Amino acid sequence: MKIKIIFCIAFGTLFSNLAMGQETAFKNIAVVNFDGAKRTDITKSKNLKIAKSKYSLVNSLESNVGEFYEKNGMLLFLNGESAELENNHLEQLEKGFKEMKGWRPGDPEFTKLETFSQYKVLVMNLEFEDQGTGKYSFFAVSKNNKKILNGVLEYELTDKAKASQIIEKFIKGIKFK
Amino acid sequence: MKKRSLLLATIVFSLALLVFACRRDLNNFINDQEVPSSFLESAKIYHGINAKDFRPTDGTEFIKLRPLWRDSWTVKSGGNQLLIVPTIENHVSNRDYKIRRVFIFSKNGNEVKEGKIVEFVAVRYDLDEHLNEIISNYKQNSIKNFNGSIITYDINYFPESSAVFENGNKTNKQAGFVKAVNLRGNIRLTTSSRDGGKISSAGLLSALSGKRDAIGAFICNGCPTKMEPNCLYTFSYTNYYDSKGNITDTVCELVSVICTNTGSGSGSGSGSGSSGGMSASMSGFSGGTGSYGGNPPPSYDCTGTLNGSATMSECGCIGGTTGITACSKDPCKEKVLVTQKATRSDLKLQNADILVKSTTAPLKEYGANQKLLDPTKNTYKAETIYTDNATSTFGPEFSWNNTDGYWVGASHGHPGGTGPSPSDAVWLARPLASSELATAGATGMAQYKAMASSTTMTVNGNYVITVKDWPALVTLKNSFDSNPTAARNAYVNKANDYKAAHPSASDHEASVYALMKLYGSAINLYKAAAGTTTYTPLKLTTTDMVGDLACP
Repeated sequence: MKIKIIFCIAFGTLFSNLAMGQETAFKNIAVVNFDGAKRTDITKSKNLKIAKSKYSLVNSLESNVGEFYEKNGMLLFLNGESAELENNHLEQLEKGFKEMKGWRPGDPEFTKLETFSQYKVLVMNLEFEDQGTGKYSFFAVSKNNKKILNGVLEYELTDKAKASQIIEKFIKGIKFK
Repeated sequence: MKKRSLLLATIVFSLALLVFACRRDLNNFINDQEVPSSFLESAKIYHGINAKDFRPTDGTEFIKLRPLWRDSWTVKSGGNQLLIVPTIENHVSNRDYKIRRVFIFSKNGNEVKEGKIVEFVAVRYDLDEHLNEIISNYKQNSIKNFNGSIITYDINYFPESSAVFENGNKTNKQAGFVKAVNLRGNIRLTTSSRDGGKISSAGLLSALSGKRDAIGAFICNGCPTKMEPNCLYTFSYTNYYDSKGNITDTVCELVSVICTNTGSGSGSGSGSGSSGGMSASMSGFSGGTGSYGGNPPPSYDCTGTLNGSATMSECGCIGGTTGITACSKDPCKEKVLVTQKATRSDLKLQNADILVKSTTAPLKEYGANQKLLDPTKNTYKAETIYTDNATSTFGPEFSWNNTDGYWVGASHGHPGGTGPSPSDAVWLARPLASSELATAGATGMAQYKAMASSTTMTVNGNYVITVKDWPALVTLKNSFDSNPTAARNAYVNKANDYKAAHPSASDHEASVYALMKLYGSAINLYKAAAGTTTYTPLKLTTTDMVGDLACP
């Protein structure tokens, strides 16, 4: 009887993970939770409504790198690599992003730097009113500064709240290898 | 009887000859203008000690005026006696103008203590008739019925002061002369003497470019529609001032044209001492009259070729016999100029200072304008480093005149370490729409385009932008101005896309990529490693990254 129970639990767990695709290894960098997002590719991604924005990554990314996922009409791009990063890599990125954006004290914040127990994450938001779209970009760096996972979530401005929840949940679910 | 008549005639003739020969002395005697020999000798000694020969500077020959001692006379002024010595004068074409120039010596005791050169410019006024009266009162605030100006120089013809009289009363206006020549397509101006005078070069250059009348606060009466290359044009100008001493208006009047080639018709005039050479011609005026019409002068192109077809452009003289068919800014050639400019001790020190200030807390962008003292020369005006108190913006200040300088770009620091932004590129297109550059005409425009650059100093390296396609940059500038936020976002987005593909890339690298991707069609971008001034042109590689352009 005990063996049947253990088997059922193990099978159920395996089935749910595989079936729902909630946790997946990305390269040799980290395990992430896609929360039901479906894997796609750059060619198919171009058929999505969100990809019609002239600022969509699918229209400007010229290297066949990273992976594309789709969820609720939103497009998620994921990439990462092993590297020797500076301790303040994310702080530098934040400073550079603000400088490029022309950010001044008092302007709305476009960035958020969060520290978790095993990694730090920088999230940046850009909105394109003329296209009706926006992008959350994030960079997560492992505690030992040897791995970086980055991604972009493209959304329509009407879906900004949903996008914000998705990106927040995704970031919290990162587990560096 | 016949002998007596002949003798009488001979005596009368001799007396007449004597009187005629002594006419000036008699005139001086009658008018109490005799020149004591001691005064004359003292003046010669004073002149011999104080009048110096100066070496030509910047291709401009120094003008040394020669006193014509034998024609001198004296004038009483306020109980003192002044020794008046005429000097070289050339012709004046404008019939409304009478101009006389003299040395004026004054004594203190038995010795000459002061010697000046004074030019009297009369407008529709009988100057010859009233010359002594004006000389006698030339330091006074009123001269009866006098309309015109009095310009005073030191003994070496360096300007000291000027006074403008209207209906006999001295005004707060200032006057001077400016001379213009067409040197291989570039109009070159020389103000009174070597470095005096204040006049809007832009205003006059505009007038000489065919805009004959009022341009802003600048009016040029009689300006030629075309500057002939073999002619010297002399203008009298009057500046009007507000209560704070700022120039509000300038009225310029063509007073003479002297051409050195045959067929150019310089008019008659007195021209005493003017031997016909251009530099000799630059020495002055006289009360003579004449016209500057005559046969049409020959046409020269910017290479100096008679009836040639070369024209001035943003990269200098092209076409015709130059063999250059179009402007092309080869980055491998231009990098030498970019490096030379950055290596100049004045700009190098300033750039280093800009970087230190921009990267010292509290972090703000600091910068300085880069302005030439003269658009035809490579001498930079000393400029102050300043900040707009912003962390991510810096505003350069354009000017194109001989007072504020000729803006050919700016240098500024980026505290965050990113490369040049779109603003830093479109800066360079903004002056094209400025009224100052517009009034400077085609020559000024070409000079600006040839020299314009934008420098960005960062801890990660230094960058210089030059323009390779002006129409393309203007299009990008217009797009930027129509929606700066969208332009900024497009730039940041492009940088983020680069980082998406290259996760560990820095913002510094990504920003340079974004600029080249979005603005590369219009600009050349150069980079020098941090702390150095040796610039290398950048390019986008076949793998869509930023790399050095290999130069032969």
